[in-house]
Amino acid sequence: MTTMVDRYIEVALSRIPGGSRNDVEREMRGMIDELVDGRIEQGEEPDIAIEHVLNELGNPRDLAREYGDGRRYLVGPDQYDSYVDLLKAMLTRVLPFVTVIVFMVQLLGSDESDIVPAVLDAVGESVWMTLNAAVHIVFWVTVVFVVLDRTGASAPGDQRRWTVADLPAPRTRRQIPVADALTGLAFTLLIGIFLVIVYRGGVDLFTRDGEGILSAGSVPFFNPDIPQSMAWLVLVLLAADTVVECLKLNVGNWTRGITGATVLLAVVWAVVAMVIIGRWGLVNPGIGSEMSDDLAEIFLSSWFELSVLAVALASSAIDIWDAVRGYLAWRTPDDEWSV
Amino acid sequence: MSGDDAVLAGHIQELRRGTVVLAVLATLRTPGYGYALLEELGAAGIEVDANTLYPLLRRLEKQGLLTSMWDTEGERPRKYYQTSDAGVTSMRALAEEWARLDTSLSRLLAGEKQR
Repeated sequence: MTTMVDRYIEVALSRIPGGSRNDVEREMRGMIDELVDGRIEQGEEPDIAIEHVLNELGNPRDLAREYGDGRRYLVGPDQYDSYVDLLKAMLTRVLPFVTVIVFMVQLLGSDESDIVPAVLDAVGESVWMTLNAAVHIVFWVTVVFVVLDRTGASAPGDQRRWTVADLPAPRTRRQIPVADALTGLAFTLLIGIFLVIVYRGGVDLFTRDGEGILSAGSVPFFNPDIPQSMAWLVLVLLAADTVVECLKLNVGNWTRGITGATVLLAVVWAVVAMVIIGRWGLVNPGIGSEMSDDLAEIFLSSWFELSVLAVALASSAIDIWDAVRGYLAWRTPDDEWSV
Repeated sequence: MSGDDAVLAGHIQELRRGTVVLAVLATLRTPGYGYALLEELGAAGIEVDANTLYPLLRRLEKQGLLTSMWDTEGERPRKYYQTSDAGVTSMRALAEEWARLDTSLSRLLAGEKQR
């Protein structure tokens, strides 16, 4: 009829699925013609009538929504809650593992002889991989839910009628706050990074002449008498600590397993610290050749060793105290019914 | 105050929405096309916009409550609709529900206690 009507219909049809486009176009044209004719019969000029009709019909996209039964959303209200829940769970539970594992693998497998570039590489790689993993998780979870939504399948658990049994378990006193678990995780990682740096970097961090401050050291800081197997044991303990901290984050409760693992690790750490410091001494006696006498004297004094031992034992004791107190909390009356 | 007006307009629209279906099904027991129906409903005091009515006719047809037929005899093709048998059944059920609601609401509005 006129270009204005054509343009209007074109915009509307662009929002209609291909299959029903011809059909809808025919119907829309019929509708507009009828409405325009109605106005012309009442004495309006044709051009004015068309403008009035199109203005009255409003935004062609809104009209297309009325006509098309295509959806205007990715995940509908029925699936939305499950979608958000799963997304949250996946992001908070999987990403920490990715960060930690990529960091460890990168650091241990690094070609860099210098420790600082190695750590920076590992940090960069773990951040990058974590971002990648986050994008993948969001994308694939969304795809799954879009498919679920389009195929009309309902999310697990949505088919049943809701009953009070579906209420989540009440928060109990033995709950491990997320902040605590994250702090524990960060602490473990910092200790691990620090030990690896000192172990690989030797004493160059403390050299006297200021040369090659960050290059690989010639004199190890740790006592070479300490057998290699002990170093591996420490590494295994760090890995185990990391796993337990991640489990705390995931499970969120002082379950028997987590409590047991925490106590066991704390005891083993304490024993390892006592054995290393008591049997061989932590610091390389030959360290004096690489640093000032005053500094060497401090590191080689018995109080330095004793302070390290004291810190190790104290942190083990605190770990055990926390774990046992958390585990026992559920025995108290006000939480009893929830168990 | 326009916020309150918008809220009221929304409620009024919701109240009307279902009744348009009943009005359409009742009117189209004798065949008719979109514009004629629009006029007829307007004359009967049922307020409905073209951009609501035409898509509604199509939806009701898809649901099997209306049947349609293109009339190509006239000056330009026109789509005629008629209430189907299923549509008549639905119309009766809706009308019954309407009457029931009307009774209940009238009682409530009059402040009478329901027994």
